[in-house]
Amino acid sequence: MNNILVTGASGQIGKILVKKFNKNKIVGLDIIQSEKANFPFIEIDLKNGKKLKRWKKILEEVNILIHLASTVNSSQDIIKDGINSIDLNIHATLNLLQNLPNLKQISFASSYMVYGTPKKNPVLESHFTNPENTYAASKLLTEKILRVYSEKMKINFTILRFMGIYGIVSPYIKQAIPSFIEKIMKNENPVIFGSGKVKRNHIYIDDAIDAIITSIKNKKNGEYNIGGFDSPTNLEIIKIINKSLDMKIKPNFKNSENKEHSFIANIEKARSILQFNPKISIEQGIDKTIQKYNDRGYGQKF
Amino acid sequence: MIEGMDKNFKNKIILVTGGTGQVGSFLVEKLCKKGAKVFVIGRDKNNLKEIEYLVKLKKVIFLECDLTNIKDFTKISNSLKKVNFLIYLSSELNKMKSDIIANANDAIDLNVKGVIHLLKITPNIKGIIYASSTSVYGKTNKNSINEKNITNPISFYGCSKLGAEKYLDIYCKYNSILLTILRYSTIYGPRNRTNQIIPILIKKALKNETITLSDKGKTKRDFVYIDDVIDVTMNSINNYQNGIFNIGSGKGITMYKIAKTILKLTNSKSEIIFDGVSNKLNFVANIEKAKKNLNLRCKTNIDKGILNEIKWHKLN
Repeated sequence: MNNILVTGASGQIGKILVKKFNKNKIVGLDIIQSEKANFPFIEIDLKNGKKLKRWKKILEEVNILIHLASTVNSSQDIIKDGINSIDLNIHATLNLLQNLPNLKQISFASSYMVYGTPKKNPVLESHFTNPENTYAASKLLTEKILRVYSEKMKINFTILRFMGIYGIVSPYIKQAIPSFIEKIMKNENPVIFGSGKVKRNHIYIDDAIDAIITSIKNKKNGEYNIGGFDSPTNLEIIKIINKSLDMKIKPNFKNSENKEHSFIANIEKARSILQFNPKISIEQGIDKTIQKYNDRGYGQKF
Repeated sequence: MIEGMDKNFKNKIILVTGGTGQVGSFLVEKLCKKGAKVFVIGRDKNNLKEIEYLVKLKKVIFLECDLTNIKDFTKISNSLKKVNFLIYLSSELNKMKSDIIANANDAIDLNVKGVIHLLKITPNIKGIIYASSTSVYGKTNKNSINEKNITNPISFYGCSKLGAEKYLDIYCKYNSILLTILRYSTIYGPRNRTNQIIPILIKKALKNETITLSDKGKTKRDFVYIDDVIDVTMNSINNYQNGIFNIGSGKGITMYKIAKTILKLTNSKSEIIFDGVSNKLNFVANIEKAKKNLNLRCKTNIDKGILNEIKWHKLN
């Protein structure tokens, strides 16, 4: 029975995640189907709840929801981006829930950004939530809605508050680690916004996928920080990339638009309750990411 | 200068959404007395209730607008350009509906998107008061809940109020606008048209119908009288205090006590029975922050407050 629904199945994480399950268990859902799939795939814009009715038969079989679909737009300008973030993250989620009559379990990909600027590091799940942009606000509101729904319906829910995920090679990714790798591989200076001294416990893609699978297996309700065990600064990351590539490229610095701060998520709750154990160190993760660039023919060709 | 005009209100052009509701109507009357220029947005121009006389006297400009309908916003946008203060009280609609997932989209549309749409057409706002609710806190074991308590609502309505708080916070920081969030506990008193516990019990008591209480009537809730709410809300318009404030009585009263009081004051023959349900949803607000910063004073005792609400229900 295809009982596991993955939304955002064409996204960078979804694409990898769906391959971890037996094709007879999975249903994919996204606004477009980017790759051929050997499992049922629902191509739909979740903003439009009515269209979900067409997939009634498939959706009735679903009892596990892995909810990754989300807008990645983020802005402090509510006027410009507020409505959009609500339509794409909140109404989409509500529409989906109303069409999953036999749901028993939810795993939701949220973000460390729901906390806002940390009062102190490392940040626990009980830290206050003060979103500073539309993305974070819509993620937090979705968390709360899923919690209410799960408690009303007596189903399991796990909220995974991810740190920045790295290790994906894609032209759409604009995060620090891949951008540094691309520049250094091209023999160009990577650009650091701010001092380069703030720390983050980024998480490698394989460990992030592992957290999602673990959450499905263990059925432990609540919110969990999901991050890596190393908390490197951007300066340290550039050093590691240089070492891995046997290069000595120095960064250029630009002023950061926002006030910078370290963010280290405490992952002990996920370790002890979810049995989540990240395995990839920052050095290993960067080596693996560089390997992926090489496999795709980046590297010395530039 | 108009007689009795308060200097803090002289330059204020205030927009009140939900201005025909319980808090809204009393507040609008007060604001007019203080000499503020007041706009009210409401769903139905034929249902102005207690503020109809102010609209007729042209002391209040009423704009008909459904805050969930984008087309309505374009109709009223020109009138609101000069508004410099927003008091957002709309929300009754979804308190009336049952809190199920099929209605959750509507709660989000009114309580979150409605605010954002309104901000788009009020570019000159310098201060906002947002009427939130203590329902943002959800279940708790503590005896008294302060503003720092974790927020895990147990209703979609509570989610929508919390969502609006968060979006407004981002908006106001980004645009350097003052934001006062008032988390009201259960408000009672005249003009209470909600389907909350006090009006329900009063109506039953007046008809001598049987009253059913869950949790053996031991559930404790925080009830705050409308006059006290209006006073503190006026203070917060006056004071320019950024932040989140619980507005309640700070005291927990059991449902049994409430029911007994109502029966006594209505001379009712209703019988109280217990349904055996146990949900233990005690809630008492810690109101120290509002006492200190907004001069919240709870002057009305529950007997007198309920009596006033009973009198109102008898006339309406």
